[in-house]
Amino acid sequence: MTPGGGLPGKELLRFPVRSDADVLELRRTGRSVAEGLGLDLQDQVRFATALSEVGRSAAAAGGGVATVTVRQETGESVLAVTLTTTMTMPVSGQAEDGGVPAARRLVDDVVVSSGPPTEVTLVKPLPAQPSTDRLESLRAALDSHPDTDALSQMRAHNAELIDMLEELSSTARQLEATNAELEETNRGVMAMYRQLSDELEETNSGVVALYAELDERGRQLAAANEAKTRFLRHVSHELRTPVNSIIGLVSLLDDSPLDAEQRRQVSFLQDSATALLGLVNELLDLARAESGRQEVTLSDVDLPALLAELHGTTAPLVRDGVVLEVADAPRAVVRTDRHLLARVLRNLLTNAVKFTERGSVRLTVEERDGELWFAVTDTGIGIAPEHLEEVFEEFAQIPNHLQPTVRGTGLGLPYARRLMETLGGRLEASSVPGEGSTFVAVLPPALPDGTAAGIAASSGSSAGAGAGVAEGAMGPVAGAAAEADARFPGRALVVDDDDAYRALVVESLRGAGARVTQAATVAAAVDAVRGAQPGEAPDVVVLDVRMPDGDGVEAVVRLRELRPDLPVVLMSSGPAPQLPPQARDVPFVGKDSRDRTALLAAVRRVATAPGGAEGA
Amino acid sequence: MTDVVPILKIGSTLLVSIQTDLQDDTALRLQEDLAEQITRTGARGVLIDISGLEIVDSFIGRMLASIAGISRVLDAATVVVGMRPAVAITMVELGLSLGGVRTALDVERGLRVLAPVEQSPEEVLLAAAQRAGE
Repeated sequence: MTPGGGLPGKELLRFPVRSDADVLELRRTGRSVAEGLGLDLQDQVRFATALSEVGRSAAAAGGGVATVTVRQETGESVLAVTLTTTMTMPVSGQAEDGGVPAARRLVDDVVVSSGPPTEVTLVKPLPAQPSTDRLESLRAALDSHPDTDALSQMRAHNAELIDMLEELSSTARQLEATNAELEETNRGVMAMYRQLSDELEETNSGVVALYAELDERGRQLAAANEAKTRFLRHVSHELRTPVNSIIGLVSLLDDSPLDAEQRRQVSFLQDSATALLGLVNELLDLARAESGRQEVTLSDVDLPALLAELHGTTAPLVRDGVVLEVADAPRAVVRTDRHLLARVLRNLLTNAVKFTERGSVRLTVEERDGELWFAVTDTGIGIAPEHLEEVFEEFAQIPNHLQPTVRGTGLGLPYARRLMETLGGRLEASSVPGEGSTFVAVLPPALPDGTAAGIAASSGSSAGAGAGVAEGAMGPVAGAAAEADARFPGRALVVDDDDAYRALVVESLRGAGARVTQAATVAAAVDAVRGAQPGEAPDVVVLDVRMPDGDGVEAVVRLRELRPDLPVVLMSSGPAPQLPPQARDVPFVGKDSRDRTALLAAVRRVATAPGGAEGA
Repeated sequence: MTDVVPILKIGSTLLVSIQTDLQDDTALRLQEDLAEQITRTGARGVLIDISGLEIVDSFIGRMLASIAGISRVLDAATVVVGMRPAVAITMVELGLSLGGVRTALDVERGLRVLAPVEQSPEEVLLAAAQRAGE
């Protein structure tokens, strides 16, 4: 505390200098004091810088104490700052390296008392003698705000600024994190959306596939049904030809001289064959109805007459002890297809009669809301509820005690239902087992003519009678007329590969007085015509349409090339063929053994027609 | 905790504005921070504004010189701007000349001094071609 080489003066301040912060405080204080004592700016900076240099040395030397005093020295006032260190402080060296040598260049006088302890005093002359009051106020100012001057405020601001920067960058980081999180969420949502739409698409394609499958199933079912119908139709056609042959041959046999026993057997043969033909015909009918080719011909039907006819045809079939009642018609006329309606009602009545051992079979007709209800009610064995729909299936036979004695094809009811549908109506059954059954055929108020015409037009091609001539020839009236004059004494050539039917035709013609030659192929027929001696040539050729070595129609053309006026009759179990111009006059006869006379009539007509082919 | 001097990045230049009197450890830390920032950002220039400094003693002076040296090694130029007249005089009196450190009066001029460093490679090639043509 005793400043070296100077008078003791007024001590303004004293504080320790140990750290960087203290050095900073020291030069700041030094500057404030210099300013307070009236030194100019440059001197303030010089003095503070010098203090900084010395203070740093003192701190590096283990720390010391700074004392700021104002004193008189050789007549003038000086500012003196003394730094006292307990350890030795370097006092010499280059000014550029700082420390005391640097300070020497900045202040007027540096007094060093090498230690230890080392004392370094920086002396700066003051421009004027400071008053005591001024020194007091300066001391008070230094004491009261040792640390709250503008500089430390700047430091605080600086720190704030840095904090703010930190905060900003942390906010930015946070935003980035939030952004990333949002992006993640977005990705999640997108993924979920994609998954959902994938699932939806999958379900969709599943539904589409299901539809396609259903469609395919439907097509398969339709194809199966079509195949069944085609099978029925085809088989029936194929069956009809031989059965017709059998019936025809049997009837020929019946005409020949037989003893009583033979005649009985032949009549059984005839019955069986006729039953077989009936079955085949029913199958054919059903197949036609199922394929939608049933021809419907609308006309005003005399209802009382129809009922009377049904009564007449059914009465012989009724068992003893069973009453057949047919009620009166509610009106005189109904517009429908007489043939089909009669077929349905006959089937229903026949069916009822078959299964009724006692009681009654009744046919009633009622009009309800314009519809006609034909009800066939019996007191027969009845049908169990679980079998009610089954009876409408083909060949369905419900087990019952009458079955062994009752003959049936199992086609009657299915066919009847088909026909009612064709007529625009319906067929329903109700029954109580043991008490009886009721079948109701319902006709609609009136079948629109357009519908009927459509059905007729679409089924016309399969009617089996393309040529008007043939229709006339086959008709029962024409047949009956021909019977009256069933003689044909000419020469006939019969061409058919079917031996049985050919035999039938041959026998029929012979029976009518004809001389008959035969051929089994087209080639043989052509040879027979070409090679015939004059006077031996056939007056008529009866030709089958379907032959193994050629079509009957072509055969007609070839035969006509040999003899343009040759009379020909075509026959087949199939439909009528399309005829070329040079064969337009050739009649067509169906192979139907029950109507042998139709063939004879056709033969007689073409053979006796004047000119024959010249007319064409 | 010691104070930290903020370092701002403007383009490829780092701007250091010293607003208060620096404590020695703060100065040392600034030196380290700058070296780290130059490496990290690939800055080509360092502008040190010392207009807030009232006192620059030998330590601070050496620190400025060493920042310039470090920057040069890291391929960045250093410009010290805004030195107060009193500070400049004192430094000269002290024998500190800030050798190797470029100076400018203010930040704007300092940025102009640094600008050529920011030329694109095309501009550098063009300038070289022009010089060759002259």
